Amino acid sequence: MNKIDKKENQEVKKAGAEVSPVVTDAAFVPYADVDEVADGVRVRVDLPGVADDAAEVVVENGVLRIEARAACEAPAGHDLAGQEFWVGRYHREFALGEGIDTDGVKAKLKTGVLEILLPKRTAARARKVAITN
Amino acid sequence: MTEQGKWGRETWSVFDELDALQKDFGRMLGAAGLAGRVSRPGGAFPPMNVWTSSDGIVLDVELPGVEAKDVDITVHGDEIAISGRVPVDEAPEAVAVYRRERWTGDFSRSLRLPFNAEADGVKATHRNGILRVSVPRPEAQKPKRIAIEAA
Repeated sequence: MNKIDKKENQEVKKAGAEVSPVVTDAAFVPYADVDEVADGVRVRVDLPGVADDAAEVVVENGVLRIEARAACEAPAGHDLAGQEFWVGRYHREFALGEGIDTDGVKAKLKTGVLEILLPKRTAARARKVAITN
Repeated sequence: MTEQGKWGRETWSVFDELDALQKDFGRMLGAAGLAGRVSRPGGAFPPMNVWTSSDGIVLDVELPGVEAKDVDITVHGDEIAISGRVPVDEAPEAVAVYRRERWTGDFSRSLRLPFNAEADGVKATHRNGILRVSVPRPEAQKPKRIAIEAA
């Protein structure tokens, strides 16, 4: 949260509105692991605090786009004494290679980790060729 | 961002310096060169948000990919420890690794509480990869308001 956000929050707080200081509208870059597997590419993205219906995966013009919104409500009657993570929006994009079959993309979200499987087009898959004498 | 002063020099502000420093540290420690901001700029894992009140303490801990059964929470006097393991979960048929940014493996963090906790009262919930641990302050250790008598 930058100092402008903080200042605005303080002003809103003074005005009597309830504001949770951990929530911000800034878009964060989530951490990701990317692997090539036999049939495609596997992308795993850390999205802590994101519920099933708060994440969106879009493939458009050769770009994989991940949009999500995390939620973690402040416990009632408590003050924030230490903050090491921020709760807000996540956004990340990956450019996809020609070999990806964009129609077959699958995604699932479990305990705050989004797993996306991007299958390779059949022509792009490795094939073992038998060697004959 | 610094602004151009009227003599063409950049005006200097300690906050800009601190912002720049924080961003540099974020890049070095956690972001692995990511363009943009990350939600946990510090290096400690798992990152925690700590909430306090006169009734006790609430800890929010980011643990994406970790099942509740794989987290150990222990309370001993005024110390609380949270440990466990983020599964590595390598694809068995992996051909190549393109990118490794997520934290995996064992983790352990402990925190000193401002009161002696009773382990029985500690509650934990796990939702969408965020663990919330509530540690109530025992009744005898709650702050008491003392009325000032008129002299």
